[in-house]
Parts: sequence; structure tokens; C-alpha cells
Amino acid sequence: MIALQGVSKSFGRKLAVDGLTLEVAPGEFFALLGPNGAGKTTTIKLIAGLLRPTSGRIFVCGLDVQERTIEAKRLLGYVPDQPFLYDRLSGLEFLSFVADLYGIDGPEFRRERDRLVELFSMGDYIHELIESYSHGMRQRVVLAATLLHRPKVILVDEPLVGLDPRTMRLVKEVFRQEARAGTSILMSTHILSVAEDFADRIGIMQEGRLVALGKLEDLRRRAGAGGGLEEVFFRITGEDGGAAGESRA
Amino acid sequence: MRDLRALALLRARELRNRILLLGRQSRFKILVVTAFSVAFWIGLYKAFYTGFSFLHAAAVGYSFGDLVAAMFHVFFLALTVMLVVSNAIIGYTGFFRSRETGFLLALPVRPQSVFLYKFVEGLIFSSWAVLFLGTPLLAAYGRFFDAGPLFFPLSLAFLAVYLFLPAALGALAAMLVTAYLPRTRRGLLAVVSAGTMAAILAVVSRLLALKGTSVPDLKLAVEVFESIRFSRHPLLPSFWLSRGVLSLSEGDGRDVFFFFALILANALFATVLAHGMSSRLMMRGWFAVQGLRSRKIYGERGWADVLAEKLLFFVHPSVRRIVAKDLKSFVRDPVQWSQFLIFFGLLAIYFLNLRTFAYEERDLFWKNVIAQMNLLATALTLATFSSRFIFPQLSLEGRRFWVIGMAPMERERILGGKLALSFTCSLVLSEALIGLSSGMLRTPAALALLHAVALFGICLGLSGLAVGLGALYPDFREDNPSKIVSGFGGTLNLVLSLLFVLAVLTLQAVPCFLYYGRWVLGPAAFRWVVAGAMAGIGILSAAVCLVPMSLGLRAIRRLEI
Repeated sequence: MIALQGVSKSFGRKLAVDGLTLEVAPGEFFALLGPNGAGKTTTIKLIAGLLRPTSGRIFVCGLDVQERTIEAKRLLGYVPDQPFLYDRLSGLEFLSFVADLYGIDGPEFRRERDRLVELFSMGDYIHELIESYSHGMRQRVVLAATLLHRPKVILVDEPLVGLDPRTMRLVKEVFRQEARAGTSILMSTHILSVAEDFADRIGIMQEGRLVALGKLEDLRRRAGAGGGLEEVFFRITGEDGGAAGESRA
Repeated sequence: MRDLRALALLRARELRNRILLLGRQSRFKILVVTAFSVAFWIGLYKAFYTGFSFLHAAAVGYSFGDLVAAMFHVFFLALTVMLVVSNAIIGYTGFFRSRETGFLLALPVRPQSVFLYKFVEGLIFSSWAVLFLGTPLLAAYGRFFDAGPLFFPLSLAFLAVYLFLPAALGALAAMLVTAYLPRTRRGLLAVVSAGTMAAILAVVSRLLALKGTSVPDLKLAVEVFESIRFSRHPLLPSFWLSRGVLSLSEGDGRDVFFFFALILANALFATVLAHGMSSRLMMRGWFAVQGLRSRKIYGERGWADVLAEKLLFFVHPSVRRIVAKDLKSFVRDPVQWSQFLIFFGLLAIYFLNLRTFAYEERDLFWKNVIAQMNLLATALTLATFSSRFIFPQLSLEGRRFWVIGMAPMERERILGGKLALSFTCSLVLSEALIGLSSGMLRTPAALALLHAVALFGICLGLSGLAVGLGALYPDFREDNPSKIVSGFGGTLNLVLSLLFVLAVLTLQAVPCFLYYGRWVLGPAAFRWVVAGAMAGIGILSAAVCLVPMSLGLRAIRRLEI
């Protein structure tokens, strides 16, 4: 579903992503971890086609994102880290706008809209202007807009930041269902428990490179750590694991 | 005082960093902006000086000094009204809608300090253009009247001190309306709009009472100034300013001192009053605005969708949807459309009143002159409109670019949508205005047609320029359109727009003055020259639209965000 072949991206002299090679299978829930500035958001934006790779190739469902951009975008859904929306539109108008951009209209749109409004419990406010929405309400609108065209690949950048526990649970459940239905999900997150509970495979990035890749057990073995993902993460990235361990003790 | 000191330090550091960043910018950019600014200032100075000379020559039999004084009274009154309104709008946004204000109010900072911090920001933001436009006027006036070397710096001091007065009044108005008047923004707008409209109607009703059909031009001008005698009311702050400046040129030291002291005292009083009241009004207004939540229900599709479908039937459906989205965002943002209304509303009121001055009864020479001036006013308003509203359109997508950036369509269509919206809106509005002008003046059909064609070209060129340069010089970090347009791209767009407008107007004006003015051309030759002018306008407009658009299209294809 997603394939990156030796992808690098530099901004001036700074190499944000360095020779990244990765594959995410259909129906796989892939978690991308890493400290701030590791290159996770850049990787997601590269797959989404919002950035151009300096070198390497990216495929979505077999389509080269650089060459067959429009077709690839039809299959992609992208949830950004900050839900910036058009404040002067209502949630419903926004969904309708997105549907039009994807060429979804008539009964198909109404069916999907009703399903998503119910799924994300947006009925109370969907007719009001987005400027009056809270962060969680905005994030629900973003998720609904992403799922509207039933993408085959969903790219999610830190989707759980600032959400209340109920919404967080709902979002996790929605992604799990999507993965079960065959959608590939690539999620960047700092919430290690989410990766631990839901991800089929985990990739850890550091300074633009993929420094670890595999199932949780593989990573445990590689790190020589027996505990949870948090310990594995700190061992692999060489970050402040000692302090974290001490504080837990 | 510690909080105020910290805020002042913050601004000072920001300013220092901006200046340091300026050093890293391309020298070409800095050179272009500086060169255009200087050229613009000199151009204005020359225009004002020529205006004074013309008026002096025309004022045979009348007191030239009285005429200039009347003009100053009206000019400074209009300026004051605009500054109060502008400061009220900027104040409302800065005091109660800005994220920074929310951040500062959460810190141990007194509300009065936040007020003062935002007040100074608004004062600079709303007044720099006044200084830029006012200084060439004062310089031209000083030189024409040979007012001495001290006139310019002293009149500048008058103007600088005076600016605090409308700023404080605007800030007070913004705080009082937000804190005490209707609790919804619609109510707030209704109050502001009703006040502005009442003032405009009061002036118009006075002008409508004129009987200008049988009097010479200058007498009519004097009659017009008489009808707006209220601008000379001694209680109006604008009267103090104009009297102060006039006294300066006359060398009347006593009056100069009196009016300067009067302005200084009142500016200080108004600022201290606004600062004092802000201790209560800032928080009260902030809570009122935070408590607002529009409960209005919006359907899936509204009038904007229907309008976009009907007007832009010739473009791709996804482009129409982007246009409808932009239209809705514009109409639901009062700060945007209120400025737009002022731009074009005043022009419409003026055109509707053309017959009050009996211009339609004049000979062809004068009809042509008035029609040309009206075309110039409309075209310059369009240039301002496209720079202020169209240029920042792509930048405003900014952090929302993931929405349309991820959509399965060519990015070029995004620019196509912006171009279609700009061209259609400006064409409909400006052709309606110039049609009104031609109708009221009863201009010959050839002149009306030529002006319609010129405006078509101007709309096309200005739209292409604003959309293309907007994509070439985007600012995705800024959400405030006023700040986006004040950057290099915005300045370049405004300057090129003005040059383009002047070029098109010159192309169409030359045959008109040759034919209607001096009758150098015969009817047959006139037809040929007009056809040539139209072709020239067509080629120039197409080039001015296509070149920046193709650069913008290339930029948006390469855009990374």
C-alpha cells in the first residue's frame, strides 16, 4: 500500500529525512515514533505529496506519488497535527466542500455524511460555524472529512493531542476498524501506549533515519529490554531513559 | 509598571529582530521597495503642488486662501472620521479577538497594560499611511505658500500628536460598543454600520440640496464647501488641526501655540481616559466576546454556492466550490466586507449624485474630463481592492492548505478559482459603477464603450497580477491579510497595479482628449485610433494577466508546505 524507496528530504543544508526505505501493507496499522525533529511529520507530508522528496521514490497503492499525484491523492486520507479549518464555514459546509473536491455527491455524500456525523457525534454543532468549535470538535470534523472518500491509506500526524479521553477512545477505535477493513494506517504519535496497544508494526525515527523497525517483540529483542515500549524507545533512541526509569521507580 | 516595561521590551526586541532579518533579505527587494516608496512620495508631492497651482490660477475673483482653508477643513475631517473607524475596527480585533491578547491576559499583566500595548500597535498600523500621504501634502503646501523651513517639521509634529486623538476615540468606541452594546457581533456591526451610514447620508443630503446648474465651476466649488460648513465647527478636532497648520503657514505664532496646545491636551486627555477606562472595559469586553457563540444554523449549500454555480458556469466544478468557499468566508467576516463596502459604496454614492452638479449638461470636453476622472477613481479603487483582498488569498489558505493541497485535482485549479472569483467580482462591480457614471453623465456611446473595454482589461490585468504575485510571494505564517499585503509581494503588487492602471488609462485617454477636447481628430480617424487603443489595452492586459499567472502557476506547482 505504502512504499518508500530510499527517500531523502533536505531543507537547505538540513537533512530532515535520510534514505528512508519502508513498506506498509494493506490493513496494517503502522506507528511512527521518534523524538521531536526526528522527521516524522516530514515523512508523512512526503507521502501525502505536500512535500517533494530530494531523492528516492514514494508509492501509494502502486502509484508513484510524484508522477500520478492526482490518482494517488484519491486513495489517500491525511489528518494533520493541527486541525486548521475554514473558520467561517459550518462543519457541514466544510464536509460538503471536501466531498465536492473528491467528486462525491448526491446520495453517496448524504449517506457518508450521516454515517460520519453519527459516528463522531457531531449532530449538535455540525450546522454552526467552525470558529465556535473546540479543539476536539475540530479534530472530529477533520477525521470525518478524511474518511468521507473512504481512503485506502490514512496518514495521521499526532491525532490525539488535546483530545478528551472519550474522543481519544473513539478515534483509536475508528482507526482500528479502518485497519480491519483493509485500510493501511501510518500514524505518527508521541503517545507510546497507543502504538503499544494498536500498532502491528512500529518504526522509530531519529535524526531523519529509521533506526528501528518491527513488531514490539522484535524491538524489545533488539533493545535488550523486557519492559514496555517506553523503555524500548529510550534504549533505542538513547534519550533520557535513565531519568525516566528512576522517576518510575 | 513592570508589566508595561516587559511588553515594551518585547516589542523592542521584535523590532530589533525584524531589522536584523531585513539585513538577510535580498538587497534587490529592499532597493525595489525603497525606490518605489520614494517615487510614490515624489509623485504625490508633485500632484499636490500642481493641484495648488491649478486652484490658484482658477480662483480669479475668489479668495484662494479661503478655498484652501475650506479644503483643509474637509480633508482633515474626512481623515479623522476614517481614522476613528479604522482604529475602532483594528482595536476591536486587537483587544478582543487576538490570540496574543488571550495569552497576555492569562499572564500577570494588568488589562490596562495590554490595552496600551495593543493601542500603540493599532495606532502605528492605522496611521502610517496617513503620514505617508499627509507629508507630501504638507510639503507641497509649505513650498507653494513659501511657508519657511520650520513649516514642514512643525506641521509634521502637529499631525503626529493629532493621530493619538482619533486613535483614542476609536479605541474607546471599540471598548464601549463591545462591553455594553448588543451582545452579538451582528448587533455590534449594526451599530457601527448605522452610524457610518447616517454620517454619509447627512453629507449627501446637504450636497443634494445644491443648485449647481447655472453657476460657474468655481462658484459651484465654493457652494459645495459652504454646504459642508459644519467641517469648520470649532469643537471639531479636525478644525484645530487645519487651523493649526494654516496658522503655521501664515506665521501666526499665537494661534500655532494655541492649537498645538489644544490638540496636545485633548490627545493626552483622550488617551489617558481610554487607558483609565480600559481597566474595566478590557476584561468586560473580553468576556462578552468570549461568551459569543453564533447559534445560527447553516445549511449544506447556500446562496454563495448558487451564485458560484451560475456566475462561473464556465469553470471546473471543483473551482466553483473553492470560489463558493472563499465567498462565504469573505461575507461572514465583517472586518473584510465592511472595508469593501466603504471602498465601493462611497464611489456609488458619488456617481449617483453626478447630476446634482449638472455635469450631464456640460459640453463634451467637460463630460470627457469628468468621465475620465470617474474611470480613474474606479480603476484606482479596483487596484486597491485587488491588492487588499485578492493578493493575500493564497497566503490565507496557509495552514489550511492540507485541505485543498490533498484534494485530487491539479493545484493550478486553485489559482484558477482565485482568478475567476477576482475577475468576475471586480468586473461586475466596476462595470456597474462605470455604467452608472456614463448614464448619469450621458456620455457619448463611443466613450462609454471605450471605458467599459478599458475596465474589462483592467479587471483582467489586476486579477492576474494579484493572483499570480500572491502565489509567487506567499506568506503562509500570517493569518492577518493586512499584514500579508504590507510585505514585499504586496507592495510590489500595489505598485505594479498602479502603473498598469495608469498605462491603460493613458492609452484610452489620449484619443478621447484629442477628439472630445481639442477636436484634433476627425470622426473617422477617431474610430481608428480608438480601435488601436482597444487593441493596445487588450494586449497589455493579457500580458499583465498572463505573465504573473504563469509565474504563479509554476510557483504553486513547486509549492511545499
